Amino acid sequence: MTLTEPTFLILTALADEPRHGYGVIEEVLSISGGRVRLRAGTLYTALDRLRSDGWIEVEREEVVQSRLRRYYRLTALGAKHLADEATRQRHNASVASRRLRNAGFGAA
Amino acid sequence: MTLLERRYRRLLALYPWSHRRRYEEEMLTVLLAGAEPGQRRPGIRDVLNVAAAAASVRLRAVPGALSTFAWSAGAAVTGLLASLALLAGAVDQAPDRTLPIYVSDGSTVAYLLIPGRSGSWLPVAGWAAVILCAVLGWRRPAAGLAWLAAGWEVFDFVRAYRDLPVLGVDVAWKVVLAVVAAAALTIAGLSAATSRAVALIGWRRLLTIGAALAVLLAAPLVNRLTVPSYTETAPAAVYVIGGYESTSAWVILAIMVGLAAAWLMIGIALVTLAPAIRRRLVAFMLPVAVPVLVDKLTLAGWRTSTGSMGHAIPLVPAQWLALFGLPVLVGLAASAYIQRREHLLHMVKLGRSTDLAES
Repeated sequence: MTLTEPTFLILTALADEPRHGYGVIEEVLSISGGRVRLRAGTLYTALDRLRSDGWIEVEREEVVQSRLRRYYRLTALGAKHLADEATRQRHNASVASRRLRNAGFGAA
Repeated sequence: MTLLERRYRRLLALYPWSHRRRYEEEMLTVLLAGAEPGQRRPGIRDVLNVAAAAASVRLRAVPGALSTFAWSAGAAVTGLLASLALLAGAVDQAPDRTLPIYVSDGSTVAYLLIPGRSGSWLPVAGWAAVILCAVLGWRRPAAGLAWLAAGWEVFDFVRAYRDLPVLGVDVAWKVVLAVVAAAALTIAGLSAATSRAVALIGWRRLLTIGAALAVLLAAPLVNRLTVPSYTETAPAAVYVIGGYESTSAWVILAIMVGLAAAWLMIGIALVTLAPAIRRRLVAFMLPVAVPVLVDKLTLAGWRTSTGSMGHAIPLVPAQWLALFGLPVLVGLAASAYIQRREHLLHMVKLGRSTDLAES
């Protein structure tokens, strides 16, 4: 199964440590070099699906300044899918770069 | 609660309750964390994003809701009854018909033969096959055949519209009814929870409706056979009511009583259906009334113009939308209303039993 870019970035953001919703948005913004700014609707559609598929789970809940923060973490299943996807993308990217180089398109 | 928070909450109310219960508080945290200092209302991109996400959550819930017993049962009943009505309509239109032509001095009368349209026995066979499959409980073949028959009704509409736009508008409701029948049979066919439509309606009710439809179909036929010949030279009184005519007042009276009884029987059969099924039947059938009402309420001027201009005036996009887009909206709104009302009644019942348990 191919992951959409937002889903791939969300899983990547959760790979090193559990994060809450806004933390995921900031991390995705930084991973993508400021290119992908997730909106709340998109984020929670993805989180809901990933949670029901068992790729992520709730780690803990905190109330900070009377606001609920729920921390999510990657499950073993989610980690495996993310690793598979990373391998697939690395393979495709390296093939693309090699062919561009061979065709004389320079520093691609 | 700040003004901005209240506005975000109102925005998040677009989500269904099951989603809000789980995510509303943390989504609110995220939205507020992303807000600029001093911001007073949600940004347009957040509004659009949340609205689209909420719509997709609601849409994903539709198949689940439709596969509940009440909806699939209502759909099965609607599919069968709508197919019966379409079969009756097809039978009525299929044979050659004669229409009396009155000449201006009133003394001579000619008869105009209107041949049945080419292929007009096809929908008779089509809807009869749909009904047979539905009665036997073959739900998927019934749905497939219904889409084919509905396709024919669309073709018939296009053919009539190209002959004369008003003739097309006359049968627009049949296109909507055919699509309703096919869609309802599809919903019934996709769900695992349906009993057979016949069991839900009951044989007695079904036969009553069938008999009433037979009376409604037979009345014009009987009248055609007993119509005054107008060749007699002796003066004779002719009674005419709503297209029915006879030299005997008793025959006219008998026809009127027969028609009234038939409609009454259909009415009673439908009103006595189980309430949950009856409500859904109404929701499914409401769209069929839309083209009729649009025609009666808004197209009278167009009918006159297109009839007297010497050339046909095609319908404009807004009129097409009203004829065929509005029925979709009406059907969705009616279904959503029923779903909401039943949910509310369920909640009231839960509240009452909790209250009783506590007292």
